[in-house]
Amino acid sequence: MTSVGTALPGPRGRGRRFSLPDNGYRAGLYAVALLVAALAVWFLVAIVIQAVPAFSTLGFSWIVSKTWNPAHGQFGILPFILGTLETTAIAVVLAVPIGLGTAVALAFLVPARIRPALSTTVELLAAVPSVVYGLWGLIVLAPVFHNTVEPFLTTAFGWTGLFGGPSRGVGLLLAGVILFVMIVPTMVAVSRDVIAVVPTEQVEGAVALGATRWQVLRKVVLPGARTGILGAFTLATGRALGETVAVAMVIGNSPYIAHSLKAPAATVPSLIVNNFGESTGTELSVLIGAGLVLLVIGVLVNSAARWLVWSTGTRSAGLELGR
Amino acid sequence: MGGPSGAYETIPKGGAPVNNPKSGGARRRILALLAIGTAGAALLSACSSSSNTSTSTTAGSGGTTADNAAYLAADLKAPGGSLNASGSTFVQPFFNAAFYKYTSLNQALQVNYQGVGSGAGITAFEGGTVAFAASDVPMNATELAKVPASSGAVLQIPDTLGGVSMAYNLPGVSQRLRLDGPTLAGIFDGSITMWNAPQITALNPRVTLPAHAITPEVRADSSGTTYIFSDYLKTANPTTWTLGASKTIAWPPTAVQTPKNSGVAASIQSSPYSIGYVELSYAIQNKMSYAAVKNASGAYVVPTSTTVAADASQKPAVSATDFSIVDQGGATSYPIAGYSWAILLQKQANNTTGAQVVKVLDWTTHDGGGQELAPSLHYVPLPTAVQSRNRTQLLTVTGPGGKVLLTK
Repeated sequence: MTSVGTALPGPRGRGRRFSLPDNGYRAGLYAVALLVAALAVWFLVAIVIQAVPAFSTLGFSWIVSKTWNPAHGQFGILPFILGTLETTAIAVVLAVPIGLGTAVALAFLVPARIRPALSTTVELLAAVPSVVYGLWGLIVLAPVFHNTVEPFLTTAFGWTGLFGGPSRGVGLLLAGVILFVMIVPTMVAVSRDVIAVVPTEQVEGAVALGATRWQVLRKVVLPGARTGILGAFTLATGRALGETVAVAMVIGNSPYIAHSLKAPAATVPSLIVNNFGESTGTELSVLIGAGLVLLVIGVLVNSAARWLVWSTGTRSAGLELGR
Repeated sequence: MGGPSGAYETIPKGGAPVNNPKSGGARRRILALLAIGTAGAALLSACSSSSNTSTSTTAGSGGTTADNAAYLAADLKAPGGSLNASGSTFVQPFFNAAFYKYTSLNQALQVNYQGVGSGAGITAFEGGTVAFAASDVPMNATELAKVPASSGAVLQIPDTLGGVSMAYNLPGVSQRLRLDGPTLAGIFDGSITMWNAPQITALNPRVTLPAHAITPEVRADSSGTTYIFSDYLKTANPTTWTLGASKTIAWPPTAVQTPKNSGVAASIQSSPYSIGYVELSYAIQNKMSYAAVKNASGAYVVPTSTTVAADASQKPAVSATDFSIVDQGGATSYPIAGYSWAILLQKQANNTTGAQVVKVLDWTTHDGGGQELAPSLHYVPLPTAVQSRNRTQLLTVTGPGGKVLLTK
């Protein structure tokens, strides 16, 4: 990524260093890259400007306050921040092992004959509009969760204290599971591609040294594909944090801190989508400010993941050397 | 399960039979949702079959059927062009059908109505970007203050009438539930939590209610339906209902909130032991079970076009500042109902556009015109007295030179 100039074959050998098409091409590339960066900056500046009234009238306490009641001028968004983190956590906890497992299976285990069909099926899931996931969650999954999944989890894992209160179908758990279904294709597709480009020589070398399949996977493939898998994680987490319509349909949109995975809750995007159309003044500014907070959370989560991968990466490399 | 128990209560005309939750497959519900989404398209065929609706004998300002017919004939001669309007999503299916019919009768004039939500419609009206707006709750003083003073007075007239049903999903109960104001307030403020609570069983002695927690289902977005329902709870329980009457309510943590009428309807259908408030048309279209509610005269009444109209007729003198028609009394009145409002300027800036606005709205809000389409779409036609007041109001609308724009 950092060395595009060296990756592209230069024109040196043919003496066309300053040719018009080449320079035009180069200028065009710079222009589009700058355009994307400029869009991001413009977007950020616009959001900050719109959010300023919220911070100037309410200070910063509303971000960590837990009472949301616009009619009484109370704009605490802590329940929504927690709801966002909780649903994303459920989705990621399910999506990372299942997504990585599927990717590894697609890359190594599944017979080549049926691999394309399986890959395409998984990728198709990524193209389904989110409102369809929401409808499916509300109409098909909610009754299943209400009648089967939640009573089972309550019986089996009630002791954890995570499944208190009545089963309702909609709520944190269903929202997290819908998000999992939505992000797992990204996780699978990107991980599979980066696993596939781990140099064959390294894999064959490890096999030649007598490594089992499991050892090859653990010591060669996954460490080699680490950065790419991080990319998959980043994309998937981003989608889970920001998903709006599907979550709004299945989470119950209750502006309180949930004390159970079965309880209705709300996320920052669901708060925004439900209230944006009819809000004005401070409330509108608070909603945009909440979007800004979400952006910051996204950056923090991804930085944390990056740091985790970087630190475990160096440690395992060190162990490898020490052996 | 299955059919309603005739011995307990007869289902009035227009009411839906109690549904069997098990028989309502996911496919049917998806179809029902899609049906709501495409209601506008379905109406095209409904337009042609509205002739069976009886036309009232008197309409118009102190006028007769002939008088009304004269106004309606003139309405259809509005100048050509196109009108832009926006607002309430509740009224959208009705407006779509009414304006389509209007244009089929007066092909020179096209009316474009965008269902962007009442609040967004009001904002557009304040900004002067639409010829008229529609809102489920009339503009209040704060909102009116945002209209530029140079624009003059704002006129708000009822355009259609709707009831709010208490729809529920109660497996194992085939009889229609009976509920009253205090019980509904208890369910929706979180103080009544179980279906077999004494307050509910007392109203339904012949129903075996399950010992299961109630899931209240409410709107997640700001909504005129929420306003009408909370207005009812506040009116029926002046001291015990403490959450107020508003388009957004601070519901208790147990409430499941879903956006839009169609969302609440779908959420109720997929959550056993839930109850929520849904526009009557959505409850009927989705074949949901809904309760008979005790009115101010002490009778339990099932929501239908007739019982909602009976409630509205108890208070003919509605205005933008006194618009609540909940819990009006009358033996056959269903107590949870409200109007949707069309909003226009009393002094139009332009004679042509002004004439288009008043004629289209006059045609839409009268029997013989747009109101004929209401029943087939599960809206309730405006009471005759309200239609008459509408005409009186519209006759006060003038062009920039003071010329009255509505004519016979």
